[in-house]
Amino acid sequence: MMDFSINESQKMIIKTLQDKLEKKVDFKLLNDKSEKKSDYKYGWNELLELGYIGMLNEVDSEDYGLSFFDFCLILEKWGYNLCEGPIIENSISGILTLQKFDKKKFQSIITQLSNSEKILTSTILEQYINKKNLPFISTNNGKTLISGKICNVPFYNESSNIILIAKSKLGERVVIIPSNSFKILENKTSLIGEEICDIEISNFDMNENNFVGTHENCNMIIDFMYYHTIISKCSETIGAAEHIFDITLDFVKNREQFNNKIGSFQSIQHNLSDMYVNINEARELIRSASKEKYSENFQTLSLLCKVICDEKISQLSWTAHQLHGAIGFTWDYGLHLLTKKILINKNLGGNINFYSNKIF
Amino acid sequence: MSYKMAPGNDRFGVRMIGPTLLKYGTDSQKEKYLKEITNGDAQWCQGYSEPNSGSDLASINTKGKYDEETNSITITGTKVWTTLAHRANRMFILVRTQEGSKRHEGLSLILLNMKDKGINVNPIKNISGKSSFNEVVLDNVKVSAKNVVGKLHEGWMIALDLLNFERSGIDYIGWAERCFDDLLSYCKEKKLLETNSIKVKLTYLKSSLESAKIMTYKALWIKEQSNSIHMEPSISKILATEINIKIHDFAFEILNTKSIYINNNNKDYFAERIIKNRLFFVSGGILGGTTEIQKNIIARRGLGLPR
Repeated sequence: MMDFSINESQKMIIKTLQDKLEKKVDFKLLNDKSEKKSDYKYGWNELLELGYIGMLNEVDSEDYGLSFFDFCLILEKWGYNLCEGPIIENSISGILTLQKFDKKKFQSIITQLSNSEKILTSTILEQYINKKNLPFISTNNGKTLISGKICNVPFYNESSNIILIAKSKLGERVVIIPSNSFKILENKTSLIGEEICDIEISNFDMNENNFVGTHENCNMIIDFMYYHTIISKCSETIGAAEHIFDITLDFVKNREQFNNKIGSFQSIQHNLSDMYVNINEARELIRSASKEKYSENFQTLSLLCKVICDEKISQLSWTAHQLHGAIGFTWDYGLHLLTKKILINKNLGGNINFYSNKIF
Repeated sequence: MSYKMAPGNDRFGVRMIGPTLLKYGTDSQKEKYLKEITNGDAQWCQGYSEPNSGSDLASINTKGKYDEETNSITITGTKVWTTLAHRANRMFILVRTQEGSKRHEGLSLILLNMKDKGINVNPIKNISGKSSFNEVVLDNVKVSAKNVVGKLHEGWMIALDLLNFERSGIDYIGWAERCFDDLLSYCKEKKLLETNSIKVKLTYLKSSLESAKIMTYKALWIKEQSNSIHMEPSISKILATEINIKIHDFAFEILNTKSIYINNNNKDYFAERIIKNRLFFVSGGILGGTTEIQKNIIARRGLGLPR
């Protein structure tokens, strides 16, 4: 029998985070931010204060550290509260990947990432689906140089290091480069005000300490980062969807039309039921996938999670707008921010054609 | 068993009355009926729906008159859409045993032997041409009150709990998964996966199949954790019956004209099975409470939306 329980320690982790986040969530500030009137960032500092960043552990441990499943539970709350920060990049492509594939070499940076002395961002979702334009590694006069452009890098301005995929004559490699070695080509802003950058590096002189893993296990490292990041993004999405569901349920219970609460009409009730069903199926699939990280089905399961989120959860946000009527269509109400977050995540890391080619 | 399409799978016994008796049955009921179910000696059927009581189950009219002197109940009424009644030797039946009672009150869940005097089974042909369900007429059928599950007149909650066992059934998923795997093999054999739209559609179906399967496992898991009413069985039933139908619909589409013939000379067993099952699975979204009823349950009992 599969186990769907959340243990006491996991409940405590979630509650502690939720308590800390709920005190400060402010849609007005998030709205201002999406209009570039504010640089309000929410969640990252709270997470650091709780020490959750550094607790992600390579090996599931009952008495210490967070498993990947625990981490995904945190991301549900993270997404629910529309938090912003390189939690997924820093934790998955940074701490977890380095611990698993090159712990000895990167012990120092793992410690720095864990206590936020350094912050790492990752280009995995952008580069994994578009490998034509990877930065190139060449040798010249005994030097190993890297040059190239990378588009849509999240959290570049906050980061101290970037983990990325590059190619050489011998194949692909995963490398870590200090962020200040890049030049910004273009600053962009996402639908909800997150900064994204196109960046360029030119003839940066690398040494052995920049390379993660080996030529032989490079694909394994890339896949590890990609599939864990996909599941993480799905957890964040399901959190945002739960927030949408909560405010929609609250709205239909209170909104009156024709002298009745609109939630008493069966057509409205069935829409809410559909939303509830879709959230539950997606959430349980994602949680189950996050427990299957050592299983041979992990990669396929990860993609199926993304497909469910892309198909059903994005549809759910449109249903929520339909049920809210005009108020949900306005800028002043928080629904638009949550919808946009779901749309952003939907378009990261691939699309249905990409996933179906991977699965079949 | 559903995946392998094993014949003789008594889902009414194994999946519905069996777990219900484990929870509410007397020792002698457990001893007698669970042993039969475990040995595969029984085929049960479910006496819930009536000609005027479908989705509105609490409106049932079949009456049971209790005689204190003989400690027996005499049942009169008509049940309908009773799946496998023509093959069953046992029936669990919901009966209004308290005279003058209304709606959920005064109902009892009773175990019957289909060979009891006064039971007449009239098969009804369904959309697939088979007689899988029946009308069951009960004319003064006398049964011992020892066959009441739980307390006399207090059967409603037990009947509902039994429905949750029914709704969380894994067999919908077994059928759906088998159809998906066969369809995938067919597409590979015919090199249809080279067509992007087919591959994309299969991806959507597979993701929904996996999530429905997980929710079915969760529904079963949660029934083990507590006795309170949960929404998972309703969620699971909606998802499992919908994906079952969607996969069969897509198979029907892929097979094209092959799937519209049913005759003894049809050598394409897969094509024949798809159309027969698709027609039969119309019932999935109806039996055990329609999809619309499941949505009502989720909305009202689960989410607290007003009537």
